[in-house]
Amino acid sequence: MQQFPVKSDGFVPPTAGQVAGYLDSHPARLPSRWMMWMPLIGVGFVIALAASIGGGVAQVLPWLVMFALLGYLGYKGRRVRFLDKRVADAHELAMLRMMPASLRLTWRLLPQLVTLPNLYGRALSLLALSLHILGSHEAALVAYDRVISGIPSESPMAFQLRLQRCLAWLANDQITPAEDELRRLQNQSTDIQTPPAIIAALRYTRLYQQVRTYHFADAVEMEHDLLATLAPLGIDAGYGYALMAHSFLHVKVSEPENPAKLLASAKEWWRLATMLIPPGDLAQRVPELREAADTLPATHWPL
Amino acid sequence: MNSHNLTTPHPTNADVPDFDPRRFERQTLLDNLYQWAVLGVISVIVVIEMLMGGGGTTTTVLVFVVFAAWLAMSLADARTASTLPQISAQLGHDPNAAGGLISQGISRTVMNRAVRFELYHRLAILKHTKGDLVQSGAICSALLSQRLGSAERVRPQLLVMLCESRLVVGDYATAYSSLVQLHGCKLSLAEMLQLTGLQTRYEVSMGYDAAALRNVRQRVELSELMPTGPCIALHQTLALAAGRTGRAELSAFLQSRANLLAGRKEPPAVDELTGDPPIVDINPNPATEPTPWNT
Repeated sequence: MQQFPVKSDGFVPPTAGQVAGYLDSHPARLPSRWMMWMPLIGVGFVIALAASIGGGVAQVLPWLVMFALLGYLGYKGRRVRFLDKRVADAHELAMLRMMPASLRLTWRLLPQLVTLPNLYGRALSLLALSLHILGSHEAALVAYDRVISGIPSESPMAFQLRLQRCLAWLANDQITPAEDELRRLQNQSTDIQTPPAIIAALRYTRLYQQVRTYHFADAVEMEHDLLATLAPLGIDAGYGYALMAHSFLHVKVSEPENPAKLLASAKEWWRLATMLIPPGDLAQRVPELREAADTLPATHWPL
Repeated sequence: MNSHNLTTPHPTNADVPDFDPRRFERQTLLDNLYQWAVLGVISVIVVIEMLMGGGGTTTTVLVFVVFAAWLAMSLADARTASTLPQISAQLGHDPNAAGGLISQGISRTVMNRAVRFELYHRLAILKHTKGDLVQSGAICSALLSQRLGSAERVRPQLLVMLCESRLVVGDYATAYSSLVQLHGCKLSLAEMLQLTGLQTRYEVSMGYDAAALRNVRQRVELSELMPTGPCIALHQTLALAAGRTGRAELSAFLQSRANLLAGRKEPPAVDELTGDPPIVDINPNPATEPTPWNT
């Protein structure tokens, strides 16, 4: 197995080439049909053999085979449960934002999951997410492409992953594919019953796209319903409020507006953002927010 | 992609079977009998074989028959068990389809006990997410009264649902007992988050505000990992405790955060945010039951 790249001075995530090579070496595949039928073929063969040879061995052999088969099936079940638990562990590490640990675990697990498509897909999604959050956008895009191509495009999971891939494209300065995909996703989500979480994720991605492409005036125009729209994201809505603060800091309007008014709006959005997420965390995850973190006053947490 | 697949259908009760405790008892009894019967038949074959001094062809045929019968039942169980991940996936976005699969599964007269327990566990989740806490609590109680065997891993989730349903109806003794048992279980992160929410709610309902606020930063950090609804509820519960203990700044901060998480700046009525009754109304006269996790 390819070793996970680690430098002595700290953690270094894999490059796009390393991820592509690793996934090429360990592609998901269906379990072999021979392996699936082998236990039954073996049982049939042994029973036929026992019937033909007779004697003491014939009495014992079928029972031995039956118990061996039970043991084998039990082992297979335990193995799948164990791997399922390990993928759940990696998911928990990602929830706790321990991305290097989650990445290491999924990297090691992938070769063992190649014949378990569901678990493989979950692990690959986690790998992509970890790389994305760690800032290895090019490598994350390789993983996103693989996982998205392996699941039905109609599923809500695919929609979510395509949105995440848009964010990675934008962060990686690949604006054109991001905008095309965002337009397609927007068209697909026009149904009035689309879950609020999907609408919120779309809105956040659109806001990030506007910030990355310096369309700050477009961003601040969307201010009026941002609170209600992003609320389903929970704590992560804070990143959206922070992007709005950043937009107010940089917007250049055609009409000469009162700069103090724009600054007051920026401060208010930053206050809301930092009520949910500390300024350091905001700037670490979205480097564009460093300036706002340095200049705007944050909310005090009396905890 | 068809946008229809992104929609969340509103569940109806049509495809969700109601829980019948008597039927459950009968089914588990038959499942037990089936398991013992299989063991009994195998024992009888072995004894007959020993008494007859080994009869080559007869023995082989008997083994084959027992094996074939066992295989047929196991395949049926495996087929039902293979629907469990599908049911789990559908519980979130297509509850009717999940209810149909559960109904189909539990209608089998005899099956592996663990598979049946797993199906009833999914039924409890379905009832719970639909807000039928009386039924979900009844299913959880029934399952927890059984030896779960290889379905033991669902015990924490059963205790969580039981505790929540009991807290809602004001049965604090059962809720307390569930919390004590949960503290003795090995929990996943998601279960630990649920325990944090339930324990805080129990403590505040019983008037143990200081206990609820003892590690408030840690609880707030844990709440950030929760889905939005429970996260808001925990903030409000802690805000209430802070207000009652005279920590006005903390109370205001937590309430503002709860409002912001709900997408509002102005403080609305508590029940407009989560649909839950205000915590203070659950038990206006706190008792003096000890909290096991703080002593």
